[in-house]
Amino acid sequence: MSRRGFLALSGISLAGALAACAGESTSTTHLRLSSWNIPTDLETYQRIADEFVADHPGTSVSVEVTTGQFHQWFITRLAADLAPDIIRITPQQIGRYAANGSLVDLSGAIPADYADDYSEPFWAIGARENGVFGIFQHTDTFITFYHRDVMKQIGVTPPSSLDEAWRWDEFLQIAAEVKKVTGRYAFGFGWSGTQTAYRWLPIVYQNGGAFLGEDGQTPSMDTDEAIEALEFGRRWYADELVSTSNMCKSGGGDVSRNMFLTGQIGMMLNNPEPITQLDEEMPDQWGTTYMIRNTDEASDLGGNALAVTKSSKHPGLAAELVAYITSREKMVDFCHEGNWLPARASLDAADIDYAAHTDTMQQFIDQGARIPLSLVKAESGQYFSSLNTVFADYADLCFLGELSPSDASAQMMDAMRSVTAG
Amino acid sequence: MNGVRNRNLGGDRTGHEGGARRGGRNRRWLLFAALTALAMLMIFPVYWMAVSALTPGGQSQSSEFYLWPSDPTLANFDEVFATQPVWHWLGNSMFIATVGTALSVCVSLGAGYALAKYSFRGRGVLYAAFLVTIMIPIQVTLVPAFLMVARAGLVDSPWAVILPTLFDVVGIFIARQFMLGVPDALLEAARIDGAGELRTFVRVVLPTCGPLVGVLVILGFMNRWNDFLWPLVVLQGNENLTVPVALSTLTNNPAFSSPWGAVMAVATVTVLPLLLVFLVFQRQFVQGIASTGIK
Amino acid sequence: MTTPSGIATRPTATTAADDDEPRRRSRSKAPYLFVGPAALLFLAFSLVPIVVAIGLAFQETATLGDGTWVGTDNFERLGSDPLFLTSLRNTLIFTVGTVPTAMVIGLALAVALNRPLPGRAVLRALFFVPMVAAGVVVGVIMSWIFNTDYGVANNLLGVVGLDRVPWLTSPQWAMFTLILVVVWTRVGFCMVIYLGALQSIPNELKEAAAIDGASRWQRFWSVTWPLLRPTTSILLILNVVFSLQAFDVIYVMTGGGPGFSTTVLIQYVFRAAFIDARMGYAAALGLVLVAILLLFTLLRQRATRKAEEVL
Repeated sequence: MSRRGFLALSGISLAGALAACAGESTSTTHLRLSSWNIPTDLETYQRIADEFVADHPGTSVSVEVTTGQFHQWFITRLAADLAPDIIRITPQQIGRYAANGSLVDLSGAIPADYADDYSEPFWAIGARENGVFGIFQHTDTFITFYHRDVMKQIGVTPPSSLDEAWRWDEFLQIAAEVKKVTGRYAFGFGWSGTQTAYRWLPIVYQNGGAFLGEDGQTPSMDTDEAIEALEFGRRWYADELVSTSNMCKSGGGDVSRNMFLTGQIGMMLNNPEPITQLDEEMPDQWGTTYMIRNTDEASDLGGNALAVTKSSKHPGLAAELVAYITSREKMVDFCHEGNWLPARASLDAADIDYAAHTDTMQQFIDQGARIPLSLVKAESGQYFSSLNTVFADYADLCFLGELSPSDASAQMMDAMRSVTAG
Repeated sequence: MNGVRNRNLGGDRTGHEGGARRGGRNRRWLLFAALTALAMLMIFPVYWMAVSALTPGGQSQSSEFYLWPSDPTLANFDEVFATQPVWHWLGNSMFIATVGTALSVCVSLGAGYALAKYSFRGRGVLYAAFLVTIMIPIQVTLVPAFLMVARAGLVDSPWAVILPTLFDVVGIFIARQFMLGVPDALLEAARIDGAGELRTFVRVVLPTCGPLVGVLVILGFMNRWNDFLWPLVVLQGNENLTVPVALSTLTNNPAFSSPWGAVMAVATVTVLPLLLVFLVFQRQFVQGIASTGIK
Repeated sequence: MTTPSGIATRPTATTAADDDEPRRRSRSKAPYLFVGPAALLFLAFSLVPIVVAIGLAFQETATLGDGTWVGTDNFERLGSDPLFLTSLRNTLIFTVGTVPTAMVIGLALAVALNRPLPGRAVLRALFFVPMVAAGVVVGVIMSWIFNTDYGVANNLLGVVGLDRVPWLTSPQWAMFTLILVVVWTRVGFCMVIYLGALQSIPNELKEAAAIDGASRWQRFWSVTWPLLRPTTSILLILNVVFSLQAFDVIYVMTGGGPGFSTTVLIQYVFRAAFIDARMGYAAALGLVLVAILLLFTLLRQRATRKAEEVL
């Protein structure tokens, strides 16, 4: 009844509009690729896709943008079978969809040698026991930015190799000195909103802890190593080394970058994105070194994979396009244009030929190679979007001092278990 | 409480005796100054948005106090207009808001008229059901509602935004309140003259609805212009988006930080037309509300 | 009400229509034609999704696709879910904090701007401005203004020699700041509606009261306020609806934090539906929200006969 009423209505007034919509997909095989709205990337995708189309007569590809909150958008689109054929998706977002059948196995379309050119952790982002549900296209990770003159004033020479990276104790000591120089705080951390809470998880792994156990399922934030990591985080705020306006739930974008630009901190743990703005506003006054570490090494798992959704009417062709875009040659192209870090192990900063900051970009690439497999498995797991929110809740309470690290750990474990119990 | 009342009482008496005219005038200027100060406070965030848009990088922050960027630049505007289809976004918003408002006002007028001036079977239930819908959080109905639109093949068409929002409960509610005030005698006179129902509505009732239409248009246009969640799920191509949805594509990105300069530039461009519309039409708007039934 | 205002006559108009039934019957097709488009649209785009959502509340949908019927499990779980209780409490604080505040300020502004004042039109427009800014943008701008370390609010306090306020960074302040921001967006709306209502009050009434020697304050309470009651009633319900569904600003500014201090129910509905992909549980949460609203509306209606006539 309702449907009839609706159709009558739409039939009368919208015949024209409908016809216009339907006209598009008759003769050619059409693919839709959805990316974040970054103009350079949209152009590069379209250009690479056009080259693909030239080799595949009778096909066409359009590049769209992902709108609004990702899960809300994607779940709604999938429910109506209208998701784009190809989706650019982060490692933290991919898990649920790989597990629940929303993404298509790409194994058949991927050349056999692809996996060989990926580190095991980066390949694991898309690979599951029952297939390959995404290919990591480019990465992103955290290193340490510093104000040159602050380092000079405290007489510290930042580490020049991964092995010399600052250990926690050392870092806290340096931070205490930096705080004296800035007069405000010592350093910042590059979160930008609750959904990026996971960027802090590497700290747990640096101490030999883990967010989830070896199976990538069992919550393990109750180990001594994990609780020590929470204690370490609490000290950031208790000692006022980091501002409480720079927490994972803080709104308004990357708070640490603004603190850094306004000189209220002397160091920040962050990804490559601030570079453009740092170049504009404080050229030559900043430098970079490696991410901090403790017993172990770990840093943020950023970047994006490409995946094919179950809504695709031409999954085979879509998978071919994914393979095409993630080929070595196109990856160089994409990373060069957009200033991204390559996901393939054989590519370095010289191959990409960055316009500037080759050394810093190489630091990022080297740092990215030290992301542990267990962290990748945890973050790209089935329940991660929920677990990430749980982590944000209790890390927030712990860092603020509302919960002791051990209480935060206990309550976080409870909440995590109620998620993973299904 | 009592003290306040007494003091006011005293103040007013002198006012009425005409002895302290100047006191009244001073008070008016005091009120004016207070209101102006408050108004400044009210528009400050919007002003700050414009300042951010004029600041390189779009982040009007510093550790020191300032009210005007040291070197304002239009670079943010230039860049976002060059790299994003901003004119398309504005055009889409304009089309959806205009057509949607126009159609929706018609729907609301009809429904308001029927609910106010006829008694028919199911009227009470229908009206109650209408009113309940404003209470349903959209998060819950988003997916099922989208499925309806998707099955009709409307996705990515402006009509997918327009059609489902034509039913506007607040509009129907306001229209009904207004129609209740239209004298029955007016309708009877027209009917005695032999006018049909539709003719009565169009020739007799509608001409009295000027202010009502004004209110419905302004509220409807504003809501559609700012509407976010629904257009977000039904539109997809970058060139087909409305402004608020387009803004979300610049701020939704979990992996990369947002181009705040672009965001603030677009936001500023979006607020200005609405501001002008209200400035020009505020008198009609207020008078419209005065004569509708939201009182 | 025996006052000769328009309000008293309107409800009688309704009853007149009700009494006149036989005459209307002969034109029985007409009302259906007038209300038809609205009813069809309501059916297609509101009722069907709502019925589906109600059905969802009794299902478990851990992943996408079809759910399994679980009876009232989702509702039973609510009772033992601490986050639900926290968000319920926060919702209450938020609503009580925003609704009366916005309405009182709105009314005060309306009364003030109803007088002849220089630049009245511009002032009115300025108070209305916040309404036209999109929620996401308001959220971002406000998080900058109220940033503890580089926000203009604290910088200004610094100029005056006051300490920095942890606007959004302490659990005690964050809710207050959010209420402030939401009141800011809403004052203009309340003002405009009240302004309209004030203008429909005949001047003779106020003048009559003035001749009787009533003070301005007394005149307001004895003449104006009773006549504004229907407006107040509607604004109250609309504002409660707005507050219970306020999402964007909170999501952007605090993400429900620090801790859980600003997690409200609508926030939790979103989280259940899209972050946890538990549509069934989200629907149950949503229905609780609707139940609260319905209850509130009914109580309101009982409390004042006036409201009953208007709604």
